[in-house]
Amino acid sequence: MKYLLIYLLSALLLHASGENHQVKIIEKIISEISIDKKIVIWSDNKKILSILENNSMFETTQRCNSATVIVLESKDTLPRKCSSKHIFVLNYKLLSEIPRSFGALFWKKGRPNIVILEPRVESQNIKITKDLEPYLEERVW
Amino acid sequence: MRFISLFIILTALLFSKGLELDNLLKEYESSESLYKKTKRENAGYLLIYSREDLDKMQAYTLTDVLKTVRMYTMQVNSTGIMGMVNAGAGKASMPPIKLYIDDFEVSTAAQRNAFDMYGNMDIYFVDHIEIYQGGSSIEFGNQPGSMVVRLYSKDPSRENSVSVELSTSSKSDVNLRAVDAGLQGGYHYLLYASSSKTNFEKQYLNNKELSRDEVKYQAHFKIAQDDNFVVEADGIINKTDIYSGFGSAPTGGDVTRAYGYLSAIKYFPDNLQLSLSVSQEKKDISNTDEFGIRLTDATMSKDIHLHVTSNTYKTSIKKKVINGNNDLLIGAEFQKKSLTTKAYDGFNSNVEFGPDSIDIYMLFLEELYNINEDNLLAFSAKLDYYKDNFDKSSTEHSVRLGYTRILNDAWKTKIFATQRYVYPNMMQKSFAPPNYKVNPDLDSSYVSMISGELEYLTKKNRVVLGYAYKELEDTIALSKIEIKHVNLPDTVYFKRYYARVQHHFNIDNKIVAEIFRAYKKVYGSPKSGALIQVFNTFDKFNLYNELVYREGYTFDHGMGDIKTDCGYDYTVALSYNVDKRLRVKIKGENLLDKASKSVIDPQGTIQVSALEKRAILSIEYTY
Repeated sequence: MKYLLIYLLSALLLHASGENHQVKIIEKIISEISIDKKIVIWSDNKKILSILENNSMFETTQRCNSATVIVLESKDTLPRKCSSKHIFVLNYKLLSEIPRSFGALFWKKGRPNIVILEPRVESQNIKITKDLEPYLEERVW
Repeated sequence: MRFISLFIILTALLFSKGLELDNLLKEYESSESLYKKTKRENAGYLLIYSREDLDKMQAYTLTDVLKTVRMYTMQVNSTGIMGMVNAGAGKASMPPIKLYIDDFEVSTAAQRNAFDMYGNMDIYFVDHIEIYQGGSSIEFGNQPGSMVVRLYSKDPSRENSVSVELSTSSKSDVNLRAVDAGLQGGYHYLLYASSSKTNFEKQYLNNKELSRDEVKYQAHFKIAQDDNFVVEADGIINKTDIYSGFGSAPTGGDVTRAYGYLSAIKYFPDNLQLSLSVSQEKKDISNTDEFGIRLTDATMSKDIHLHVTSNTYKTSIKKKVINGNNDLLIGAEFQKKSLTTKAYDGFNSNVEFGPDSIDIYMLFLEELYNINEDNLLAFSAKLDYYKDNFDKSSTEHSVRLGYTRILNDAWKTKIFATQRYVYPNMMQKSFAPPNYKVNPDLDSSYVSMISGELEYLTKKNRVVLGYAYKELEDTIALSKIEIKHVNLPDTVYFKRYYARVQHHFNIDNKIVAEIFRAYKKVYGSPKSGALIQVFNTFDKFNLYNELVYREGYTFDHGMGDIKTDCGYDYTVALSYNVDKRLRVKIKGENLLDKASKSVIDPQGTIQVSALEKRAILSIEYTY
């Protein structure tokens, strides 16, 4: 489609494109981990959940309780009953606020970053591939 | 052998897998680049300096960017202040270039244009820069400009950090800058401060040392809430040694320029926004000279002191209506500028001043209409009413018609026809330095321009060919006979061409090459130039190479023609990311020491580059 209205709607289109890239990274990270159970994802970000669902790389669920991995944007939207699941966060601060969170994709200094916390991965018995090793850190700064 | 092959293949696979996440991160960063959200393709001929570009360029100041902009050359004047001169214009000219910091237009009453104040500002808090040439869009605010430079501050939601950078140079400069930005309780905030001391090579004239060393302080504060409001404040103080000043044997003096503003924008539903801002500036010049400074009444003064302050108040309302294929922007703006002369000492007869207050009322609209999927029409109109306290009033208008056509998947063309005016500034009408008089009766000059750009764009390549033809009537120029700015009766013609080629080798590496040439009857600055930029990333290293070429030019300073050599400004910048927090940078500016020269004295014995040969070492730490 070559609509010149793309000038006017570019912000919306770019927003959608950015979300797709974000989800690609989340998918890639989750594909590089293995846990005791089958990976079933729930997210408090409905757009991310919807893209994950359509990509069908992983099973997703609309109910947090049925999930094994949670992709979390806000602490306020994490149901208490799900706080013991494997949690991947989208904000660096949440790593400090949610002790069960094992990793994060977040913006810092104008760039997207990935952090996987080694002690938490080990304590939750999450196995990671070599691809995630460059992003391992010992602690939350 | 088979084992070796298998090993190589596995290693390659492993290596490529390891890079996959890094590449995804880079693609994510690139897709989310802020400039992609802020740029307005239909608002002119666009040059973009993305955050990644600025980062690799190690662009510490706005000058580092402006010196690469086609059709312009950075020059320094006799009071040590750097400014941009349009191809073919003299350095005494005051090109109507507009500067925006986010949505605030830096308007000045006491300077030639905003770049006298902010041209050399530190840009550590800036995310990216957009430059629009070819007659700006009405969307970009009040008075029309020949070029619009828009700086966008870093987005706090993507910063979430405190960064501090310390630089020093081969000329013993020291520059400290810091940014703290992030989210707090639902509000985005950004705090920035910088302090710098810059030294320049000393020149000698009539056995007097000429110094343009400067100290500069700047602070910027922004607080915003999504879709609700933005409040920004900025303050800058710049103190420069007087250099040769207004005479020829300076014994002391300096130029202090200070500017501060507070700006607020409130966003309402249905694309309605209300803006309010207040700004204040100060200009203080002291100049002592052993031989004396020639005044406009033909007498001499050995000690002058000028001190002016000005206030500007602005309010505007804008509404955007999007309906089917129409995108209509309508708005109104009011500005009040006032000037106070606090000191004008050292003159032997009464100095004439022009109006010290002016009110401007503006109405504007811009319509974008999609004729069909391949054709877009843009129409802008603006009506402005000026009234000063000398009871002189005038009504001016600007119109702009634009047409964009997509020829096929790769080719696109843009054409703009513009009629606009340039209202005289207060340094021409209201107060003047000692070497010329004011002209309160000065009228606007008028510009008619037709311009076009042809673009070829693929995933890896971008080629742009541009052309413009301009007619200027009632041009404002400094008359050596009347010693004041006057409207010239002749029509001045101006043509320009440029070509720009950009090739992306991959997401990390690209090359930019550009040439331009301007045709004008009178030449007082380089009329042609070229640029080569090479951006590279190797693992943790960023490398940047830049060559800015400007043709030599002939300049008459009142003592006959002076010729300058061609300018070759070669810059190289290398940075190394030690880890996620620490970065070390080294940069060499004007390494050949052959950048385009400005002529300082009438005899042409002192010719200097705006940016001198300099090596800069920086350390940046992010918390």
